[in-house]
Amino acid sequence: MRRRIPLRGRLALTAVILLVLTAVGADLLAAHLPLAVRVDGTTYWLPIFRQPVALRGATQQQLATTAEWIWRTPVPWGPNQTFAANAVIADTPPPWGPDLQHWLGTDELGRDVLARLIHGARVSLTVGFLSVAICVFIGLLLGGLAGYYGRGVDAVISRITEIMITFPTLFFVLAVLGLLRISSLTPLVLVIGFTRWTDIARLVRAEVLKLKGLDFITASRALGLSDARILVRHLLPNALSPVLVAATFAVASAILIESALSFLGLGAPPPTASWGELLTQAHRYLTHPGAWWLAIFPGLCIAVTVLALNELGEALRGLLDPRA
Amino acid sequence: MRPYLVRRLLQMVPTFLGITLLTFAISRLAPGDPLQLDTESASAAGQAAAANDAFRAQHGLDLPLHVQYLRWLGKILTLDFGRSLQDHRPVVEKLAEALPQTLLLASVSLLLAYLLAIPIGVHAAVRPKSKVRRGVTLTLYLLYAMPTFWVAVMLLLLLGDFFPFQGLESSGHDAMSLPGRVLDTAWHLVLPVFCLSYPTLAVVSRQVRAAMTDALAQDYVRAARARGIPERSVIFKHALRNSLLPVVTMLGLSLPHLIGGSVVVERVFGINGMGLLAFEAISLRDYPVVMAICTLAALVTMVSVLVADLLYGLADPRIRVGAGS
Repeated sequence: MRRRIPLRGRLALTAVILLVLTAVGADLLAAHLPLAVRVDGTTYWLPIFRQPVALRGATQQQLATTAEWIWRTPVPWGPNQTFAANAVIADTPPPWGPDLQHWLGTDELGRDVLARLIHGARVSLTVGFLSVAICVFIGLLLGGLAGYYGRGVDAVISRITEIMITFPTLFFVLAVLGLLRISSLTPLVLVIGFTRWTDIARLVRAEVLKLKGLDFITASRALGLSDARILVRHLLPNALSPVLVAATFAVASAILIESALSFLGLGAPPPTASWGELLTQAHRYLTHPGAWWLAIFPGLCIAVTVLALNELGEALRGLLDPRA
Repeated sequence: MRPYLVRRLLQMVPTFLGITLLTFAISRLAPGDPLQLDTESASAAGQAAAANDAFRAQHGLDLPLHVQYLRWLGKILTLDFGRSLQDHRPVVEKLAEALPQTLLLASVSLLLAYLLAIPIGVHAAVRPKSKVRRGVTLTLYLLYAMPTFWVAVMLLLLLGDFFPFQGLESSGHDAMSLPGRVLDTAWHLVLPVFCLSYPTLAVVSRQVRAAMTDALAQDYVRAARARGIPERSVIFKHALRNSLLPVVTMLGLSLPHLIGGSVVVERVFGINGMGLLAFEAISLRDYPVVMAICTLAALVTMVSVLVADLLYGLADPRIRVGAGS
């Protein structure tokens, strides 16, 4: 019997797919160069990827006046395009509130908030998905080994898991990143990945323990299959469904950790637009000129993404867990 | 019971050693050292180098790594965490100043979260269709998806006129009478406690609801109802007692989240607790302080997990701990 995915789950899945598409296609949605443009008799397709010499330093706003024809991106601003390059004449210095030019306003350098949010989706989702990929890999490996071999192996792996659980995650990540003095995305992803695997390892261990007494494993052993083959081809695939559910929730919490680290000054390095970074900048401007749009929109992006992922996790659990 | 306790305590030894080793490794593998900031500002390089050597010798930074580790380990067994590299005060003294603030914050948050989560969870399980419960569940669910620091900043923005911005005490705190002081601190605690407790509240109330829904579908509940036992006592005496077990285990595991979360909350609200101390120590590479805080945090978590497991055994006679093994 096929189970139907509830409406909330389908909505969440749609939202997550849209977010991933936004992250992947960020350059097509918001960029300082248009999708296609014809200047001086030459047509340039997707100049953002090829960066032709003729268009160097140009913006969509300048090209709109000089080009023969232009196909603009939906949001005609690049994520790091400042007011100096905007050719917008305003009476007051930025940050500017939302208007027809900048739908969600600009930050203190005149950079378009919507464009930065679109490119921020890329950073936040990359951190979320990549770090969880590491978690799943470590969790499958250690959980599988502990469950399959038991005894000494299990005891050692259980102690390691316990050590990682006992360390408050944010603390640990903060200590590693802060003491190593690196602000770049790679170490961020690695550190989150290497600390958040404990839940998954425990799930896999329990699942393997449950499965390894079943007849099909005894049969595999009787056929003379190697331990590695039994574990990788027969046990782990059958233990995947609870891992999938836990991984979905883990992506959500990794995105939240990224934003907290950005707030503490250890997120993506400055010119990069990540949602956490946007919120952190907004924090400084909140009380003074009352630039509410700087804080509301990135916060909403994070909340909607985390909500969608949690909802998706719930739906997957309902679908995969026979008890639910 | 006793053999189980002994075995659990023995198991804690390798875990504890692992934690100290990890902490030590992180702080020593870090490039650069606490002297770099000083050296750059020093005028005479030679003079600075000599002073640095003396500083290193004084703090034992010139010894081989394994010797440093063993010396440090030997000292912390007597609760001597050394002196801070920044202001040369004993680390224990700094911890003693910061710990009460964090403990107050964390214990009030934990208590509040559990006290609210149980009735909310029970209500949600008993009346799944009620509008109030849908509203509460939805609010918690939405809050849970938001970054804590964002919620904190938003709260300060919206309610900053009514609630104090910084710290846990007003400037005239010491001059107040005892009830006045308690009220003053409570007033300062409102926003930070809210920010720290809502994630736990969201998680635990869901757990209670799930456990209660399971319990209410069991045969013994139907039997109790059939015997004509009042609904109130079926819910609270029969079903709730059995569904509280997983919640008790959660108690131990929610502590690391609270300690981690306190870094952000203490920074937003300017509370001089362990979180802020840790953050500052990490920024200034004050190794002894960082190591002491990490060790302490891990130790507290380990003990609370153990206590939760023991409570679990006490609460459920079927799982008399150590009986099976």
